[in-house]
Amino acid sequence: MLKRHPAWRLIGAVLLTTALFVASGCGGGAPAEVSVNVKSSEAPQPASEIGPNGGTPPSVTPGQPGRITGTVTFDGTPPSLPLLADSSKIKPDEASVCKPELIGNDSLVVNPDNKGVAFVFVYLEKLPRGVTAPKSELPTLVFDNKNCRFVPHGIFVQTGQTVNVTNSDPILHNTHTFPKRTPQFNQAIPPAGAPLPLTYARPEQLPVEVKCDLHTWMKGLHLVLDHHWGAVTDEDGRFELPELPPGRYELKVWHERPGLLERSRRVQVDGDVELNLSYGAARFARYEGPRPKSVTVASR
Amino acid sequence: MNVRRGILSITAALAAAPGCGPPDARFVNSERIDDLHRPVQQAVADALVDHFGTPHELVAWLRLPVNYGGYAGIVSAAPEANRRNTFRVELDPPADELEPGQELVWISGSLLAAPAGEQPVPWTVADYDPETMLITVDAAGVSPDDWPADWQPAPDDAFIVAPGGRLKHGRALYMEHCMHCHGVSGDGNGPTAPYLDPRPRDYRLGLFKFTSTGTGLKASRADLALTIRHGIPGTYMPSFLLLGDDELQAIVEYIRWLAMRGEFEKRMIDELYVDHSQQALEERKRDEAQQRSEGSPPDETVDEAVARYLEEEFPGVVDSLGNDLKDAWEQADLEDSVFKPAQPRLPAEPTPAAQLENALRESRERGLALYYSDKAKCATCHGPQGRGDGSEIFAFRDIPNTNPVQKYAEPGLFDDWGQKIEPRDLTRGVFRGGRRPIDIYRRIAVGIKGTPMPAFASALSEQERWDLVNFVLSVPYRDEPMTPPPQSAAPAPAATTAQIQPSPGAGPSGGPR
Repeated sequence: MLKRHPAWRLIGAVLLTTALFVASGCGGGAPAEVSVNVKSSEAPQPASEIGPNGGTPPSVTPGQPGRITGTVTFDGTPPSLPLLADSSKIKPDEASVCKPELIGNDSLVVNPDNKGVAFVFVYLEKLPRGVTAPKSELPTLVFDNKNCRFVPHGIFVQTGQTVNVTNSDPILHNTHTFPKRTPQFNQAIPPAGAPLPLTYARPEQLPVEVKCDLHTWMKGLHLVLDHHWGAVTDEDGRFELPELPPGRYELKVWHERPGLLERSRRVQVDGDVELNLSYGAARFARYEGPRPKSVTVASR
Repeated sequence: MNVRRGILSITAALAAAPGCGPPDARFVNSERIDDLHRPVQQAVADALVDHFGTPHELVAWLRLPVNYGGYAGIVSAAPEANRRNTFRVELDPPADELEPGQELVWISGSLLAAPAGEQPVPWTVADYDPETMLITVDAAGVSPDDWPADWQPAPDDAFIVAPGGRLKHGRALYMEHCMHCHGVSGDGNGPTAPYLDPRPRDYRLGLFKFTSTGTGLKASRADLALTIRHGIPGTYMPSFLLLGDDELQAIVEYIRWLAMRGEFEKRMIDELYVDHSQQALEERKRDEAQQRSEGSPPDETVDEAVARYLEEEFPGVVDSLGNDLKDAWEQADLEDSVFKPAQPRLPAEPTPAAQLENALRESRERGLALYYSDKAKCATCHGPQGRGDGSEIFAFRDIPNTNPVQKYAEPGLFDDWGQKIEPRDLTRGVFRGGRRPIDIYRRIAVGIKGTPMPAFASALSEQERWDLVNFVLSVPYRDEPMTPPPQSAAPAPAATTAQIQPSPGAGPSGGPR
């Protein structure tokens, strides 16, 4: 009589389904077929002749070698920017060292006399075919932590060149670089400590950001190239690239606020070239408000 | 009754039909690929499949320093003229026997090339004699008399027998033990990952936090094996001590391979991003249009330039990435890469126990002073009482390498994976990278890769590092919270949490030696 109870049929059906699920392969199933193909370590044959630096089509033309010099100026009235650090960001025990007025704001430095913009990077990212950089003894550069600020704010470094990171403050800093092609450099540098040597093994496409994790407003920039045709504008906005063979080159011009001001500015070198660039406030503007929220509706 | 039976049979059939086999595994590409220009996206995806394959068709790229398994062989003597398929070889690792029928893949030499216009030949091992080191190979059953004339095994021709066995083994184990948290691609986004905090490691940066190697170096095989074997206390990563040593090493190889694949993808995208992202292409097209309107059209259109780049320069870029990976991962396994202290933590034996006790106590006191000093400033992040609540966790930080500069949505410290990371609460005694003194030493001296914890090797002397180690190991056992030593010149660091006033008189008590 118990067997004929309708509930037993239901229980039986459930048990049977479960058993079939288990039997058909939950918790294992057929092992997936996996195959391995071997790819040899030989380099691919180049499609066409590529020079040691790859780069743009041959552009060395007859003519005179020359340097590229010039200025980058601000067109219009430069804005007055707020100070980077204020008392809300500075720890009380460091207030005697990190003074907001000494820290200033290096994100846009415009000379009031000649409107020259400092810390603009002008460089050849890739060398064209047929141009090789001369090798020479590279001096050691100094990159200092002073008054809770990186001094100088932007430098041009060649691969293999030593940058001595120093700390002129009586407080601890750490210098943390964020390159793309090499591992990060993140070392604590004690007050009045020995200089820390920093070298880059590979060039970078864009200037490398340098930060201090203990002082969030601190920012520095390192332009890293494997040749010497790079420059940072000085306090008058002047830059100078050393002598280049005659030909047509494509320069990149970069500033930290907008990023790339010029992605590939064509310059014809036949003798010395003067290149004067001028940008207005719109080109140096940078959105500094809250981060816009983005919602992904569908993936690929 | 019949209806019920019918329903039952249909349910049974439906249950049996699909089964519950293993899921269809697929490598997931990084989201950043979507920001690239369409043809460039395709080039990146193709390069990935070319060099690493899919989870079902793995590609063993010999450039990479991964132990794929099998036997690497070199022909050491040319065969006799009448029997071209039998010749002497040297195998690495040496083999006691090779099963007939095992796959053999030529890497160099005249047998690498298939006869003109035909499919690659499936080579197999027909026979191997370990005494004489003579191998007999078979080319799809074709007798050596019928071989093409230019097939001539010569000394230094290289081949691999049974390639990929270890990789397949590692893959199978990974899919069973690791995939559910770390994901099929090793992206730390497996099915279980959304429920975990901290999230499982994303291998695709090629970075591992807890290593024995120096700054800027990758994790060694030993580091990965240690992490898998012992787990990471304080997180969901369990210990896999019960896995055999062979299995563990196979998993380590597969994880290294996944990490290389991820970093390969990341570096390719980084290389392409500057000039070939969608935004960059728009700008380039705008510039081109402007140049045309000014009357000085460029030599080639932007699309032509992109196509030329992908054809001429991109293969070179991809190839050099392989070299970078090879150099970096090979260097990590060198003996010299391990960061070793130059002096021991405590005075060497034989030292009388009382003297040792004294030395330890003094070391801890110096460590306490260093914790608050301007030299190490541990309190800034790890807090005035070592609870991981230093003032740095309240600062809003910029996300590096963003333009326009964006700040992280929350205040605090963030790691390279974009996750919020908290400075370690030293009072707990749970240290993720291990609680041996040498582990703490390495965290301090080398820093923790991928996190804001910097390397203090240049800032602190050997003795000072060990003083901090001894102090840190004693923190969980203190009777009351730590305070700056009274004679310290620096004022007490900013207390952003309520400072608990300690009861006077009690000094630091003994902790573990």
